[in-house]
Formats: sequence, C-alpha cells, structure tokens
Amino acid sequence: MSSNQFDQDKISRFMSNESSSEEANEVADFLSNSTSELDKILVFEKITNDEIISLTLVEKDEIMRTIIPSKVPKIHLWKKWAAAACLIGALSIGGYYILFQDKNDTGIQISTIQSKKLVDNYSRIEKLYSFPDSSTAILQHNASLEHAHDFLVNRTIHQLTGDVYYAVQKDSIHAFQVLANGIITTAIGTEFRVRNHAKNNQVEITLVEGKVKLSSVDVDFAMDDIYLDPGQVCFIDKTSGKISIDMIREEHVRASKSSVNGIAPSSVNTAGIIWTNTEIQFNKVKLENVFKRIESQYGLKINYVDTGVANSLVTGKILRSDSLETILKSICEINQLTFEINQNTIYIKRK
Amino acid sequence: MAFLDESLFKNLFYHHYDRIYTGFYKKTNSLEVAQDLTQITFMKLWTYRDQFSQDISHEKQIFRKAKLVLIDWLRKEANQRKLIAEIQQNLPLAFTTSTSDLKEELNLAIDKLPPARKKVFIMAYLEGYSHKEIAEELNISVKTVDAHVLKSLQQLRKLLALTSLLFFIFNK
Repeated sequence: MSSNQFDQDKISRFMSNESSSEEANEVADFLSNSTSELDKILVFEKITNDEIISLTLVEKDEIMRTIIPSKVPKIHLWKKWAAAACLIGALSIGGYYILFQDKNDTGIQISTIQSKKLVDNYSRIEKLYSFPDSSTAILQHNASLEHAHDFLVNRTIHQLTGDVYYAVQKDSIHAFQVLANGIITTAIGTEFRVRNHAKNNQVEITLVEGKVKLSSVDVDFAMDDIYLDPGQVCFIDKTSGKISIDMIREEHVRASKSSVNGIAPSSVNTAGIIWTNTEIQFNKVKLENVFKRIESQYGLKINYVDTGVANSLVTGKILRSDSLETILKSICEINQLTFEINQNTIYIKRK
Repeated sequence: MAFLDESLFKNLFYHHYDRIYTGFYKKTNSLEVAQDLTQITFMKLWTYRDQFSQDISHEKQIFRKAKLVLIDWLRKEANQRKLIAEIQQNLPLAFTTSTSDLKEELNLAIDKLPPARKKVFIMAYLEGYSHKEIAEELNISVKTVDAHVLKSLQQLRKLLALTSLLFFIFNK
C-alpha cells in the first residue's frame, strides 16, 4: 500500500467522523496546513439543488445582524420583519405558522430564526430538554421544537415535528403554550403530551395532570376551544373535522414504546423516573432494587435489618450534583430510615 | 489586493448561506450544529476580511473557510469519543445509554470542573493540544498540565460514575 493510499483512508475516516483521536489530530493538522489538500475534499461542492435546505430571507436577515449589527434601532427591525412576513395585526406565532405552512416548497423549508432556540432529537432514544424556566420536554426520535430566547416571559413553543411530552413549571403569569400544526395547547402547571402527526393532518394531545385549553389558530380549521381534564386524550383530525375525547389508556401515558433507560412520565399511575439536567425524580421504585444495585456496583454491602424496608417504594427527587452520601441521606429521609457507613458496609434501619 | 467590504460580504452571505448550511447538515446530521457552524464560517469570513483575495474565486474561499470550521468540529468530535471511551473503561457499570446522551452528561460534568483545570482539560481533550503546547500557551510547567488532566479525568469518572449508577439503578 503506497503512503498516498494510506493517507486517503485516514482522511476518509476523519471526514466521516470515524477517526480515532490521534488520527483526527493528525489529519486535521495536515488539512489545515495545505490549501491544495483542503480543496480536494468535496463537501459543499457536490450538493445538488434538490438537496439544498433553504432559509427564508427574513431568517437570514436575523443571522446577518448577529455578524454585522445593524445601526437601525431594534423596533424598526421588528416592523421590517413583520412587514416582510406579510402579517396583518397578527401575533408573531401566527405569522411564524404561516411561514412554516408555505405550500410552494421546492426544497425543504426549515424555519430556524437565529433569535429562536431549536431543539431536535435525531438520536435513537428519547432526549430530555430543560427549558430556561425548568419546565422539561421529552422528545421522541425525530421530534423537534423551537422557542424564543426570552422564554421566561414568552413561554410559547413551536413543536415542529413528532412526539413530545411536556412537564410544565407553574407560572400563573406566563402561559405555557405549545403550537403544533395550527393547534395551540395552553397549560398552567401541568404535564401533557403533544403528538404532531403533520403528515396526516392530525394532532393528539394527552393530559396527564393539571389543565389545558386547546384552540385552533389555523384559519382553515375552525374549532371551539376545548378544555381537557386530567386523564383525557383529545384526537383532532383536521381533514375530516372529527374531534374525539377519550380517557387515557396505558399506551397514551408511556412516553416510549421500548423500555429504554427507565424514562417515563411521572403520572400518578406509572412508576418510574424522570431525568432533567439538574435532578432525578423517582416515583414508586422498589427500595430493594435500589440497594441491590448499589451493592454490586460500589462493592459495598447494604444491611437492612428490617425486611419491611426492602419492599417499600421510593418516591422523591435528588440533585445530580450530590454525593453518594447525600443521596443515601435523601432516600432515607423520605422513607423514615437512617443509615450508617461502617468500613464497607452501609447499615440501614427504620427510624 | 485583499478587500471585502460590507456590501460584497452581504452578497456572498445571502448567496452561499444555504449551500454551506446544507453541507454542514449532511456532515453533522444536526440542524442545530449546522446552523452554528455556518454562522461561525461567515463570522470568520467577516472578521478576517482583510485576508480576502479578489484573485481567487469567492466561492472557493468561502468553501475553504467552511471546511476549516468543519475540520475543527470533526477534531473535537474524535477527541470527545476518546475521552468518553477512557472514562467508560473505568466505570463500574456497563452503559446502556447512547453516546449522544453520554456526550451531554460529559459536557455537563466538564462544566463542573474548577476553571483553571477546566481550561487545561478542554485544551488537551477537545482542542487537541499536546501537554507541551498547553504548558507553553498558559505559561505553566508540563507537570502542572499533567496533574490538571489527571485530576480532571478522576473527577469526571466520579461524576459520571454516580450519574450512570443512578441511571442504571432506576432502570427497571
């Protein structure tokens, strides 16, 4: 094998994001220092017109302003944006919706305004996202959503695609809203799930806890406001105009069909865990299982004299930044237990 | 002659943005990352506008800038993989989480390192500097760099071990 061929394999691996660290550093240095080699790598050259993902002019304007700030005061920019998007006394949400619903697609229209935060999940398992106000969303595979950066005052989420489960932080002043395929779900301190079946022109909203109001902002689809109670699921078919409200069954509540990594909504009826960036909430997990795992993984023994302890269910929440001791303390406090660590054994007793 | 004024830059931006964005998306599989990288590319183009040449095709120069940004990202990705692999070796558990989840965990954990140690660690593992280069850049001894990196790895293992443990514990 000639040395040229060898280099080509390395380069090819690197460009496919499959290199080892050593190789990557080597190839990166090599390419950065040689313009001729750099030019040989085809990335942007071979994209066909069908493949191109376009942003609208308005979106590009926003991005351009982050590179070269405009000298025009901000309020004029807003007016310009509004005019450009042909809004007539409309909310930015409504106008945004119109942008997204452009039927004259030649390529894929992806709306990603720089002033909005885009969250997507193209991994194979659920993704947890924490909003700035500590509300959370669990995104299924191929789900995506967007929200403004001033989320603490403007809690409107545009759910672009897929299946997302929301847990809303209570804030009675700032309504939490999810816009999906022309239907707005308004909530205050709740847990609910929105499934945007955009392809079939259907939307499904499941309410686990709290209260939500559903309304239509789609000019082609009129609907009276709907108020859901906990335990109800509403299915809207915009093509047939049929709206049905049923009671939740198990499959509506579980956020994931595969039992992956224990992520489950913390509904009253379902045992499991909810992860966020800062904490772990657990709901009715058997203490015995918890102890067994701690034992085998830390190489410690856990001694619980009273067998009644082992079968109790643990419900509560812990911060991820805590040490093992703090965590044991939390688990014990919640369940009226005490613990003592003596050499390699943890002794747990009823208080 | 090197010259890129505001109006030419804007022209180039509007004309080439989509292609650059699409190229990044194809290589990274993430709209979010693609958006970031595209923005970085054009920011660099503007910042270093005095290096812009009127003798070489505009498109070529933009593609070159974009490729360099992509190469930086690919380098970081490879280094992150190595880091994750090293940390996973010493964890008491078999991981059931996907790599992208672990990456998020990792980034959160790195964020918790004390500032001086964090800087050294990021230079070593995510930016691909050698310990010698870091020592020179930050004006400290190589031994100090070694110590920082070692302590960082230990701390990260601990942080990740705990979260992975809990993750695993509460998995039914």
